[in-house]
Amino acid sequence: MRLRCWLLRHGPALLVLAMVGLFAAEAAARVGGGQGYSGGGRSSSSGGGFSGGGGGSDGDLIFLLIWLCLEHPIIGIPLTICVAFVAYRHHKKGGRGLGSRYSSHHDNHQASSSPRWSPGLRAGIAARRSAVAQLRAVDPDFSEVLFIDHAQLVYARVHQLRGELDHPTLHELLGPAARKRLNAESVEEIIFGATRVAGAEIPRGGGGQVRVKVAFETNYAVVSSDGGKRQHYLVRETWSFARAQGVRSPGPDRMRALGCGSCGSTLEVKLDGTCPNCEMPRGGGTHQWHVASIDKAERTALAPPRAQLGGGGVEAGTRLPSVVDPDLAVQQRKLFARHPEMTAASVQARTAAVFHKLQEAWSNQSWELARPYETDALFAVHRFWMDRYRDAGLVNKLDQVEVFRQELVKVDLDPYLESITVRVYARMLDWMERLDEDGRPTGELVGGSKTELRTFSEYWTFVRTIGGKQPASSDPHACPSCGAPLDDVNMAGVCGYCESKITTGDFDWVLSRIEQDDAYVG
Amino acid sequence: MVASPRSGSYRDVALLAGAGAAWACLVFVLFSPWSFSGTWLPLELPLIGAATVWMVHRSPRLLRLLSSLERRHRQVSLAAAEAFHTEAVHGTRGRTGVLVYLSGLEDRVVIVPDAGIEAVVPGATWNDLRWGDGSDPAAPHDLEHFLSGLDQVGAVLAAAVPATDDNPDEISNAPRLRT
Repeated sequence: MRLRCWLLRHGPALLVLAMVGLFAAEAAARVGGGQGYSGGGRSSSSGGGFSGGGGGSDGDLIFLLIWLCLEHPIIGIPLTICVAFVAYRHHKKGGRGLGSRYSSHHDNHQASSSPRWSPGLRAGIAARRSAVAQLRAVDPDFSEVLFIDHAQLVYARVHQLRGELDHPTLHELLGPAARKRLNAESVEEIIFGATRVAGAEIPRGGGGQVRVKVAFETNYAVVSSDGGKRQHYLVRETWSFARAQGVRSPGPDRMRALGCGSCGSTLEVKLDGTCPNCEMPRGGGTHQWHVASIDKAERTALAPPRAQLGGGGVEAGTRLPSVVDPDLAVQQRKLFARHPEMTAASVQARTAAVFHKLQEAWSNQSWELARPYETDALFAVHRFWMDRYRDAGLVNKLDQVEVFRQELVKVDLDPYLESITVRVYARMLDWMERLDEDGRPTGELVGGSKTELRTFSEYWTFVRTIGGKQPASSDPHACPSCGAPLDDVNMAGVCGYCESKITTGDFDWVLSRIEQDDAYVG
Repeated sequence: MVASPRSGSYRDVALLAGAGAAWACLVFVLFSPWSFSGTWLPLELPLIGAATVWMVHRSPRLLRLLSSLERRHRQVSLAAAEAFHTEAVHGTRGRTGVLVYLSGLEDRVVIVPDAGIEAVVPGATWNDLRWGDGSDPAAPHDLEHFLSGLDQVGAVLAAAVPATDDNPDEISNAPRLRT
């Protein structure tokens, strides 16, 4: 029998059957749950009826496929393979939900059903992880921590130069579309609240520019043109950073400085846009990230800090399940293998020691006490807030500070840095006092409570440079470079005894980020 | 050092190629302007499929053509991780073993350092090594470039973990060739 003749004879019938099979789902949805669906009209809450119809349609479809495979295998078998493939892909996608990737030590079900695990949060976590994975695929040297540091440098520099929109550095750092979004204003005191990678776009084919969306939450002060009035703003912006595909990220030295992407020179760019050192054109994302566009910019005027009486109790986020990295167990074993001198107890001891020192510094307004333990960016944030309170004639006092629980939630290793994140549970007396004209506490209670303990939790992230020097001392209160006491560290983080900058993570773990339990996204 | 002709069987790629070839033949028979006898078709189609599977599976060039770069990179990474354990590179006192894994079909070198090396050599250092002169620095096209890459590994290790008096060769430096 000639196959073509057979096909021509049975073709029309098979075509009809195939079409019935393909559209069976829709037809059955109307029969099995169609009433609920159409009766629900425009309301999506009629999904229960719709879901029932879906089950019926699946059954009919399977029956049709079996029948086609038996009676008309030439159509049925390829069709079954296609349907099985689509179903497998669908199932695989569903099974990789974030609930399965992120879990709590306490209760997985609680984690997935908690209000905290909103679709927005899940989407944010997924976008960040996916973006970093995509970026690592095209740039194996990509370090999220260093990229964020670089993005913050660019952000701060751009806002500082907003007063002169024709400045050559702005042309180097910003593309034409981004420059158009800027208004000429004098901006000062830029403080970063949160900065995170929000997405990435990698063009196919290896060409073009890689784009990374970065979401900033910052504070800055706009100074009026006569220089007399300062208005502080809470700012939310999303910037798109772009760089030629195929370029690899440089190391910490170049990522933590604004300079030529080609030679690393930090000399100011020439008026013609070239580097004064290597004569190569700077900007445009040829060698280093530049800002291609500013996609979102919102700001709200900030009121002076206010105090409220009564401050004890448990903060709302404390009972939220921990956001634990799914790779924690593996990464923790690797961490302790890399650093045999480290143990879970030593990590906890260091975290507690730094925690107590920072609370002491905050309460006594002696922020220099905290300087050795923090990166430059975090130190700037804390000093800013202390000054804001002082300007408002207030001081935040803390007493009976107790860390009662710690939980290691994330350990990470990237091409240049390693980091550990610990969720710290603590309680303390936390109140606000008024300052007198000389800046001394008056004892007058204006907020919080001197008698009721306040319980809370925060995520603290420490970083350290891979290949850095071995710390000279394991004592957290001694200089990791020379072992001297930490009583002579200047505002730049340089030890007065050995002249080493000890706040870069080159010697020991330094605190890089503090995130609130209801804002941490892993 | 471990050298392997390929880092995976790629049987699935070959089978898909065979199925595709058989399907293409069937489509040709059905829709071509010439007439074919269907008598031997049930035998011919599987034979065409099997011959294609055999051919593709044996030919590195065809496998490279039919598999994605991402897939090949993943295969090499997995095979290197497996070799790290089967060769017991982790079995050194200071956890300072380093595996240099070369895969022929994928034309790729992967370095897997043990924890003691990971603590002192940033991952970016290994990414910076050049094993060839092409666009992909991890693709050694000839022995000369590969040996030059090995010299670079030696230089990195000499700087990061300099030799001491108590420095036995815990892992043989002789290459292991897998067939």
